[in-house]
Amino acid sequence: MTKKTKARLLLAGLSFCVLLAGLVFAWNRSSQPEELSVFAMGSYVKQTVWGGQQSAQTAAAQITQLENLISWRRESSDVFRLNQQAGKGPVELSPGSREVLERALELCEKSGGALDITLGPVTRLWDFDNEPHLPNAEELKEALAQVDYRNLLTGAEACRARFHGEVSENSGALVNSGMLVDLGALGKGAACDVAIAAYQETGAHRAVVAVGGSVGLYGKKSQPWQVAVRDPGSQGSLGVLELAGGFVSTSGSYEKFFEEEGGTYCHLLDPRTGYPAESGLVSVTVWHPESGLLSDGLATACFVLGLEDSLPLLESFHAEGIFVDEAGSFFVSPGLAHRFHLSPDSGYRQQDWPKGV
Amino acid sequence: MSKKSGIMALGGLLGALALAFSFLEGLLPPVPGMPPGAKLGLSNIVTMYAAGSLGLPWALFLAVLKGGFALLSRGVAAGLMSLFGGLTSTVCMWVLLKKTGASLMLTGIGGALAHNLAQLGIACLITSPAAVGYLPFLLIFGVLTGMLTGTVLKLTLPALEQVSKVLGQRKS
Amino acid sequence: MEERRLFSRKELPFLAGILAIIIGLLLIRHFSPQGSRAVVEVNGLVREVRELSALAGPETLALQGENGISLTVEFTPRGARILESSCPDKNCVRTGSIARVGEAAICLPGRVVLKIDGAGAVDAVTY
Repeated sequence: MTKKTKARLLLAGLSFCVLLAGLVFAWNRSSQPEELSVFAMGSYVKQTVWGGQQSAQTAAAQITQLENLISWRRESSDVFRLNQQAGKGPVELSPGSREVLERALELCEKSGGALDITLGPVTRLWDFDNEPHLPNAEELKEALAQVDYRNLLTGAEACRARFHGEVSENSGALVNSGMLVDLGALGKGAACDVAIAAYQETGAHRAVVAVGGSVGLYGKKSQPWQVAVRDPGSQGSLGVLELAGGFVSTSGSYEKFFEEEGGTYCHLLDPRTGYPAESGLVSVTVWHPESGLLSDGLATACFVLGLEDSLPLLESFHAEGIFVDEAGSFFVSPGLAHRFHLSPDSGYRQQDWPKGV
Repeated sequence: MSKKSGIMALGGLLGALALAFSFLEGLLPPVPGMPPGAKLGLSNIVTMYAAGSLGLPWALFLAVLKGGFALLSRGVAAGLMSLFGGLTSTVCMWVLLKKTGASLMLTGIGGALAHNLAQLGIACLITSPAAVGYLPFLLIFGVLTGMLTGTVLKLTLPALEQVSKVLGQRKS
Repeated sequence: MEERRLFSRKELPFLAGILAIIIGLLLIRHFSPQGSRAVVEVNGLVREVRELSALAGPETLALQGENGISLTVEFTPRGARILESSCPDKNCVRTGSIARVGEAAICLPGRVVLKIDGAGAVDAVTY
């Protein structure tokens, strides 16, 4: 080999390598998702985002911002101020928290109070987040008397009818002192909503966000999204849902519970009794096409209502569900029947979805 | 010294060399993140030379010797992998050297690849097909070590020829 | 053994072919989806299955392989790895963390395979 051909070969090889590296790099950028995990809304927020400008970071910031508006624990949050001013007068809400409150109130009403976002006084007594314990029955009765979502007012008109003085358009008020709003039952779903909105704004192609166990899906994939549904009895999965999009949330008695005086108490409280719901269910998974808030809130409401009473509620919101009961049976609504694949060795029995009412 | 005993002596020498290389390689700190069985393959230099100078039977004998050594010193799994890897790579190198007249570097690469592929096959058999995930790295490693063995043999060939000339009393 | 050239230009296509195969395999590997189910097999039998994305934090599992070899496996939401092993060569430990479908960490002496399963590759977990 002469020196010249050697040099030529070397040059050709080098340029080939550079070209290849460039190609791989370009390919990577378009098909490699960005993953971002942060802690917000009291849970682990995991995002996988394809495309877009700073989409995951924007969504994470929006979720934190939402938390600063609707968490009753955050001082100066809208909900915190609402609770502080309970019985005294209206407070000015930001449009974002007003929207969350109003959508939640609609759900409370349609569920007939099976979901009640003014359950705060009762949940504080049970204290599931710090030191869960069986509350004193008298105290519980008193706290329960304060619980009524109809005494949470939003909008200038409703507030003006109850309180005097200056009332701005985005106002909200709690009628009685001692009332407490707690959006814990649907906050994670609402966080999925703001994340999806952020993906739209920032031009992401597709993304999946999981705020704790609430999942939001955005954009199309070549194959359907795969969302595993946790097995209520173990660490594994009950099965996998294949979805084109939408939002999925699950409420399960296995998430938080404690044992005391021979009884087991889970964190899913029935606003009508003040005690853990006794609907014979261990887990409810709800899919909603457009709203994470609704899928999260509906899962809680349906858990409290039980399977039969949940049917009209799911139908009115165009939502679908998977219910698992204490006996080891599970029920899949018709809209999800072909999308749900049971894990091969799960040991659960599928039963027919009850006929419409 | 007769020619036959000279070949015997050379074979014994090469065998000892192969074992010494295997032992030395075992002492080297392994490359992090590399799949099981990924070795520098220094002892391959010896089998490669044996395949070229002494012929296939002697080279195969060296491979079996190496496999036996691994069996004794590192257990059944490693021994089986070394044995089959060694036999396959020896045959491959012999074919390349003697039948196709390939260059030293290509022979080294071919031998290393055959060695790694045979080991991977054994790993799949005794554990699970998931071992195939190592394939691209084994190939890369094979090419690199093959280039190394080829180059080392090129550099040491004159010296080795001297040794074999003395032992075999061949005319230069 | 006669003198022989170190490299011949005629063999370049063979090398290019090998290189192309390697690059192809790496690309396939690179774009294979991230899995979320870790499976531990001992002697070909499934010993443990973990849904990784359902884990809140790292979890360790001690297990006994063949030939008296004991291992510790660590599962995290991002992957799984063999943390410790009493085997002589420790190849499995050096493999490090695995996360993609088809990746595996293997302890040959203990007949233990830790792998990421394709069937469990889901985008999210609801709980």
